[in-house]
Amino acid sequence: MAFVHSLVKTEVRGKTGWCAPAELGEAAPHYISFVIPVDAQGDFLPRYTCETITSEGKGKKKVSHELVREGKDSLVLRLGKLEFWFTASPVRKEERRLPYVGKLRHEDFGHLFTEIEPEKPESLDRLYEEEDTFVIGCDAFTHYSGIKSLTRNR
Amino acid sequence: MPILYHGTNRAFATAMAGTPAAGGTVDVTRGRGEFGRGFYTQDSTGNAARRGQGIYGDNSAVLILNIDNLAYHALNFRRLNLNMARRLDAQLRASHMQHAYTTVHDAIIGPLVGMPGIEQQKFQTQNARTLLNGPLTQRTVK
Repeated sequence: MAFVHSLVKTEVRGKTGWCAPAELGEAAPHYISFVIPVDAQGDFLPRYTCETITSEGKGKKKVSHELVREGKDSLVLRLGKLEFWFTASPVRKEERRLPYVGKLRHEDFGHLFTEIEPEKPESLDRLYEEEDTFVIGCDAFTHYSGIKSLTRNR
Repeated sequence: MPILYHGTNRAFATAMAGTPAAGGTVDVTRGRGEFGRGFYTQDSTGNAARRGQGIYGDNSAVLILNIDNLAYHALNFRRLNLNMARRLDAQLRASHMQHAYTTVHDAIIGPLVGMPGIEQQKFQTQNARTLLNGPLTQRTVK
């Protein structure tokens, strides 16, 4: 199943697209976008894997969930009794679907990506404040090939 | 009290938090972003955590700054609306000045261009540094 990804919009050799924050280091923008791969028509897939990370003492626990399409432009992530709704980001037509332009490898990177936004960003803040949990989508350090050599000297 | 968040790695966050006796080590001359050079915070704890994780993986942490209300509001702010923030970001990108641009203000405040619902703060003067590292700011690492 395809993943939700946490990527940043950037420009590489004149081409606008997405790359992983780890590829930019501290120069990464301060907002990390949620993006999802779309099919050839630009439509959402029926469901995506979406990981959460919970701090546990000095460690972190990753758990996989599903972000499920509901209707044409909405998706929902259910964590127990909590629901987090996402919708397609309102952007210019030419920026609606952009490629991954970084140097890392993941099977989703052959698709174009669309940005989605949480309907209530403050609900994601509450999740972190009250349950030490945040939504990462796809943990780059677990799933992206080439990231360890990229960040080895950081 | 304003509570602001900075996603980074655990070693940096711990060093910046310092100790109550010695103070913190936040450096306002190193960071960069949409408003130029300075130390960036934001009011979204979830996004700060995601940024730290995205850059540093499991070594990430969030530095939490809980700042005395009077001292914070005594700073000299430049406040930007979304259009002003977009314009400044575009100008700095075009001129490759994101690592260098500062103003005389203690801090520049405005929306994150990519997610206007989140406010970011860029601290950029010695005065701001003194407040962030001093006894009127509680610094904790999560």
